[in-house]
Amino acid sequence: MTDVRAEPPEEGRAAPPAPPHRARARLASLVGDDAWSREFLAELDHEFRERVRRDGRRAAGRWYRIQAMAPQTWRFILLMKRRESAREEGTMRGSERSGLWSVEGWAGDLRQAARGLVREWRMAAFIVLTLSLGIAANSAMFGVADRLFLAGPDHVAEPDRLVRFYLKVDGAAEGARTAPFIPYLTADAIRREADGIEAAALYRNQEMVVGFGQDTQPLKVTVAGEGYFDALGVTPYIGHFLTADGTGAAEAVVSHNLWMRAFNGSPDVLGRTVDVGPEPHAIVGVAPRGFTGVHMNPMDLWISLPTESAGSRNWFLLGRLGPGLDGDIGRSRVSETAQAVHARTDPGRFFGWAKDGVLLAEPIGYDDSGQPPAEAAVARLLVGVAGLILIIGMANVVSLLLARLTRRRREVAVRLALGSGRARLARLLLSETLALAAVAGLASLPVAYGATVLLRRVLLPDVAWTESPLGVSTLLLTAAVALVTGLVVALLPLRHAGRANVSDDLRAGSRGGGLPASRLHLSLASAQVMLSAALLLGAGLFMKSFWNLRLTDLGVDADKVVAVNFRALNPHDMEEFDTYRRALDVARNDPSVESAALTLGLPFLINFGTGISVPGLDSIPQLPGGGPFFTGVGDGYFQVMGTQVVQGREFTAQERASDEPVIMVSEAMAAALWPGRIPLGECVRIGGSDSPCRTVVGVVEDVHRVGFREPPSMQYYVPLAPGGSFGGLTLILRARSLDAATLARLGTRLEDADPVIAWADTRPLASALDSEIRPWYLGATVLGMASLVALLVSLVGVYGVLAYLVEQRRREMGIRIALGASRSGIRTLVVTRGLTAAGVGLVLGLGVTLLSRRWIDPLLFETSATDPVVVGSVAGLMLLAALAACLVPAHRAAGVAPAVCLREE
Amino acid sequence: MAIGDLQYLTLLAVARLGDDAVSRSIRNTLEQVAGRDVAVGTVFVTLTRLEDRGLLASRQGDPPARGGRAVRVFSLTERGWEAVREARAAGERMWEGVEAP
Repeated sequence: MTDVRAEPPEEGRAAPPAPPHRARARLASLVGDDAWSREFLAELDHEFRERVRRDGRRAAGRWYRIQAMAPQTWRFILLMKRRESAREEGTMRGSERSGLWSVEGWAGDLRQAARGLVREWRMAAFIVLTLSLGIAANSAMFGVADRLFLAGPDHVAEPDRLVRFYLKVDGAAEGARTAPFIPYLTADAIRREADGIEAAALYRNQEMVVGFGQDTQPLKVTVAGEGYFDALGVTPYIGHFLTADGTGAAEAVVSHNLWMRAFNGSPDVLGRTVDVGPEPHAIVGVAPRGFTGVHMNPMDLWISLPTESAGSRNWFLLGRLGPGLDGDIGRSRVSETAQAVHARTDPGRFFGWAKDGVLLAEPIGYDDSGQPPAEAAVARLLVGVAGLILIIGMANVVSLLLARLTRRRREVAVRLALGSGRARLARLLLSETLALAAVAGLASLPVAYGATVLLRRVLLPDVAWTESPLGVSTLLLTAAVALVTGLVVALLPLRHAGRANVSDDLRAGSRGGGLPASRLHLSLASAQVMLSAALLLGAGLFMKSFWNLRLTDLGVDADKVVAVNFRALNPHDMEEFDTYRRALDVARNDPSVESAALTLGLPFLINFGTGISVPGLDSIPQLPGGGPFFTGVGDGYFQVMGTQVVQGREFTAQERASDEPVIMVSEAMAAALWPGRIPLGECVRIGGSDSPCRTVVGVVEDVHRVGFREPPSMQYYVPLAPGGSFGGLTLILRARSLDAATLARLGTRLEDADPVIAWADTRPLASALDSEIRPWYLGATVLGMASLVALLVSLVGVYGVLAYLVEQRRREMGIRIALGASRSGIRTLVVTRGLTAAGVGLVLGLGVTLLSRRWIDPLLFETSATDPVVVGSVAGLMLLAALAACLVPAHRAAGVAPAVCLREE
Repeated sequence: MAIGDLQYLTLLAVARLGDDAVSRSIRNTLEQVAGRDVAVGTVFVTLTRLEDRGLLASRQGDPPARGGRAVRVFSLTERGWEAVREARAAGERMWEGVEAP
């Protein structure tokens, strides 16, 4: 390729003015390397300098650009090419000679593409930035989706063949629900007898206080029955897994993380002892790194199942489908066989509620209510969002490449005339887009890294991550997405170039394209606006949902209440009421505590239910939210929780002390049992009709017991009696500050209240709602950020298209002005064009979102896709932004000097 | 051999300039003597075509004494002279019997 630099100055003289760099460089890339062609370039330079002296630099520059694209110039280039071809016996130079698929050819074209992109570095940088954002978003989303959908728990063999068993119970006092627990007898019978299962195991995850020498701390422990590790198909890192089934010494397997943390990764951990509660357990093995069992939450320890107490409890049950069974059909078969075993056993001995339950086998990724996890729905949404950002970016890039192709029509026509062939031209175009996509892919890596770290922390904070944020699979996906992007964005320009008419394009100026091309560009801009509008509307709806969540009256001041759960080395030690009484006194005397109380049962965390009977009613009406749920309340409970007593009064100290048969009911319960009457003084029997009558002394506002989305349920309150408790009490506090330091300090003080208290876990009650809020919070933030990025990219697209069209039609604008059109009229013309394109996109985007209401509305909270405030705000914002994008091109169009642009051609 | 009007003038310019027949001076001669303002590309195309037809020959000249690039020097070939003579004769034959106003 000819040297693009102009002649060096003669010694002692200033550098001569240089011709426009881009035009000269382009010309130099097209002329040959021979002396005659170089002389041609030199002559043009010389003429340019003469004109600078005579007419000024600007006029000379315009002249040069015209000459560089003039027909006589192209004829000269063609003549020289033919000479060269004839001289070299009909072969063409370098990569033009080599076959379409030759490495040499691709290498040459890639080099040429790189040079061209360096020359137009601003456009290239914008393309790289736009594409890298889209690629990064997809890589980050893939990492999350891979963990949730594809990979399954670490080290578990064939996780898609594993199932968890649930018990679906209808019509019990608690209402319809699906429980992840199975009574021991049923679970054990299924494990041993059910057809279609080749391995099964009972297990239970709980938090227990574990002692290592002098140190005790609460750890996440799995109590694992026989065959647990075999069913999962996992092999130990060192040592072996649990062998005993309640016989011999109690055994423990530590997680890799705990092994590194507490035992410094030393192999002599085997044989050492840990105290799980009061019971010493010998460590027999270490689990492989990242293994957490069937759930994704970090797990510290696995201990063997104590069969002597197993029968009194509920257990999780997992199973591995037998040969020939998989998918929904396999799970359905296994559900049937398990149900048959359940019908033969008698779980009612301990658990009457389970008697009429139906057994279901579901994939192990499902949550405790037998449903796909909420995070999975949000992750699917985010994968869609990432895809949209990439598509918007691609549309923008295609528009830019098409505009560039139009500017280079003559060059393309010359290449075709020189015998390049459309296939070779396609290779050159593809080299450009692949080079851009490759750079964008590399640029996306740090963004993907940051986005993945952020998503892991926000979306899946409870998951044990072992793979790096940029693991091998993510890197491979990034490369694949970059490759696909490079191919896709080349499609439309390739089609456009393939249709090029050589003779027309040789004669035409770099302006051209006409009506069909401008319609294409405007359509691309509209498409980008459409997708951005859909994203922005989604963000607005999620934000509205999140806002509605915050405004929901839960019946309790969850954001002001702290719940304290106590743990003792021996769980039985925490059944003494006095222990709690001492902790309550300590709390009430702490300066950071406004008020404190004890409770049995707590909204969002612990719900108890029993049947009731009411004189005069044959049956108790069922409310959609189920119930009745009961709470045993200590003095001060309602003040701490911020729950209003709407009729009557609270329990008196006398009633508490003497355990008098009194009761308070919720508004919904009162309305259901005694419609239209004042319930004070009415009688409620807890349990059967021969239980003592409890008199209603007060009515309490309805309280949410499970989450934000909850239909009314029956709730009642009884005084907390010092004599009886089961399942443990909870201390609740209303604290002046909920920062981590205050909570930690309170926890330490409460641990000192009584020697049996090993651990006081203080956490805000609102944290129990975090997992429910998280999808909307996440949707609002991620969609919000994504839609702003998409909006910016699409508005740059609108600006770019208008700027391109104004540039293409400068002559037309000049003529209009010369014929008397006002400059404000020209401005209006351009702005109208831009706003029309944006408006079409906006209407389509909103329309698509509204038509998808059926799928979108269930994801929202107390709002819908037709929310007028959100729709109106989004429409207004987008139109304003589109107007801003139109202003600069409109101003440029109005500033065209008719005489200058008419002279140019 | 038929040649066009611009080719005829270009051949004559080369003949006039002798050893100084380089692209720049040919162009200047066309402008100053023949009154034709010809674009750079047009001159180069004409010279190249004439050389390809064998009416001109070229050689790389010596680099100038004060530095710079050596340029191509053109000269008429025999065929070129023959073409010029034929064009002149044809022009003179066409003038016969024409009375200019």
